[in-house]
Amino acid sequence: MLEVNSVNKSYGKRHVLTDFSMSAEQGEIIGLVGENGAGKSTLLKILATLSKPDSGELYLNGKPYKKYFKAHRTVIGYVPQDIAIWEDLTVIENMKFFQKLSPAKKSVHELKTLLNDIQLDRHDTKVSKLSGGMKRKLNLAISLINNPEFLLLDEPTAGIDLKSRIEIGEFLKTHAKNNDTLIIYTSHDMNEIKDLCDRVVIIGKDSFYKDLLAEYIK
Amino acid sequence: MMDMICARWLLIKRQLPKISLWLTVPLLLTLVVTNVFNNTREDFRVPAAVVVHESSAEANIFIEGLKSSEFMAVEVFNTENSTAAIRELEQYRLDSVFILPEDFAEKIREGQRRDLIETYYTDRSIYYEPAKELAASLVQEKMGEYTTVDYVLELQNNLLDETAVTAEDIAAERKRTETDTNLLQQMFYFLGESADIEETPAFHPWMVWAYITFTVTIFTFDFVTRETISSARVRFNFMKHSYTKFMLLTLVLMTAVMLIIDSVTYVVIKEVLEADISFLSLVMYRIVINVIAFLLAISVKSPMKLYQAAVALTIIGLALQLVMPVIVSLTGLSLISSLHPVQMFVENELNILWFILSAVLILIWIWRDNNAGS
Repeated sequence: MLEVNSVNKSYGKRHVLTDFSMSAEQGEIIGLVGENGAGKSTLLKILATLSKPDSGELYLNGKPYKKYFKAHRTVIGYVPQDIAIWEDLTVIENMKFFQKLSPAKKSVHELKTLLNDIQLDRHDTKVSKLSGGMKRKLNLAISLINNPEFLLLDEPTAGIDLKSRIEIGEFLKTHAKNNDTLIIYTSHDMNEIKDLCDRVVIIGKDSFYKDLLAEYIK
Repeated sequence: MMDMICARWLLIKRQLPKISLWLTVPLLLTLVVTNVFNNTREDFRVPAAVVVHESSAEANIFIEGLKSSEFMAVEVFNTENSTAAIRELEQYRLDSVFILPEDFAEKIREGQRRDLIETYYTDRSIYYEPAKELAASLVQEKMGEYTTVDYVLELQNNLLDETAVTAEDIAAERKRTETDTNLLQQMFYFLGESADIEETPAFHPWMVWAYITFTVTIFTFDFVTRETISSARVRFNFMKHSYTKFMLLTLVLMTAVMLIIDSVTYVVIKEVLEADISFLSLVMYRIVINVIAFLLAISVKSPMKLYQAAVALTIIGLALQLVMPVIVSLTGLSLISSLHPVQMFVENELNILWFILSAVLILIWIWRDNNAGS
């Protein structure tokens, strides 16, 4: 369970988040929407422990971020907007590399199963030769190696083909349901958000925040 | 630890050909540069010839004396081909020719300096005067030896009426005294400690190696820059091992591999180029430059900037070494030369100061990383 209470964040004189609060339960998929510069990526980085809020409190499973941020990192999966993989390695080598350093242990067979689940079967292909959609799938698969309870995705389908986008969406729905994973997801595509998410948090400029059920989005 | 080593191997294995090539460059380039320098120096020696009409110890000493000059390439002709020497002189293939007479040894013993050596030189000669002076000094030295021996023997005969010492003993004693009082070889004393001031060779293979290694080591660490600026780095926040730990292991492993290569280099340069250095000094130098290269690689924003920094630092280092004697003589602070890592290395000194500085910088880097985060 995630709880965010009155979080503030600014860069210099520019206030990005002002008194932002939200909460979420395990198994939920929450979409974060808003125009560019509204603070979606900043919020995601704060939730991923990669950035500190200026003030406010955050709790994951009842434990405060300030004290337990290192422990929280072991249960957080973060899919950055930039594709964070090694271009020189093959798909399976990338998986093996991050598995070696991950707190969770997975066999090569399990890694290949994870890749197949996400419909990425070119295991021995060098990443530099993959399409954008396949790279996005690998970017997601690596974040799932440590079986995260809390998955944060920053525009995971940006700039990819429709087929890959649908496949990633379907995979995330199944994954959240089967593993009781809390997923927070940012996107500019409202149709994608409506199809995928249970709830939508709208982040507007000038501290406008709205928390809605996805079915109310038109 | 094994997990990190395996991960490191996965990431670096595709770059092994490039890294291996870089690792062999310092030794190969040192051998090439040193050989080219030595051959070029040989080419620039002034050609001269000695024509020998008799084979004697005195003639051999004279020839060896001329050959010991760094600026002369001496060719020896005998009586049969003496005309060939003059012909080569006429064709400007020789700068000068020294002809030793048949009774050269006898004339030396008798102290007959006048018209002892017949000399020829071309109208384009550039080294005849210094060569003539050198020849004269060699003759003078040998004649002096015989004069001394004769004088002592005469004194012995007149005063003792017996043969207590031989001519060879006197010559040996004279040689010993000459060595002891040699004005060109000095001994300096400081607080009771003494040290020989050895002749410093103009071209030190280890200095060449040190500069090439410095540049190449920074180049080799370009993969650290690529990995540091990669988007994939963000994932280390969610791993059981931090990026700092992973990179620290990389530094240790790279240093270990480079030290193995350096050990081979140490043996090869010692045997092939006959240039010795303290192995401990070599180890210290390697550790210091690896830390510098690593920290530089982790700080810059692109590999191109790293390459530029490598070249710039090498030029600065070289320039500082060249002006170091001037700085020391102007300031009177000889301690300044101990700030130059290459200078310290070639002088067989341990780079303690740089070693401590490297350790402090690494600790600061670790501390900064441990304090980063949410």
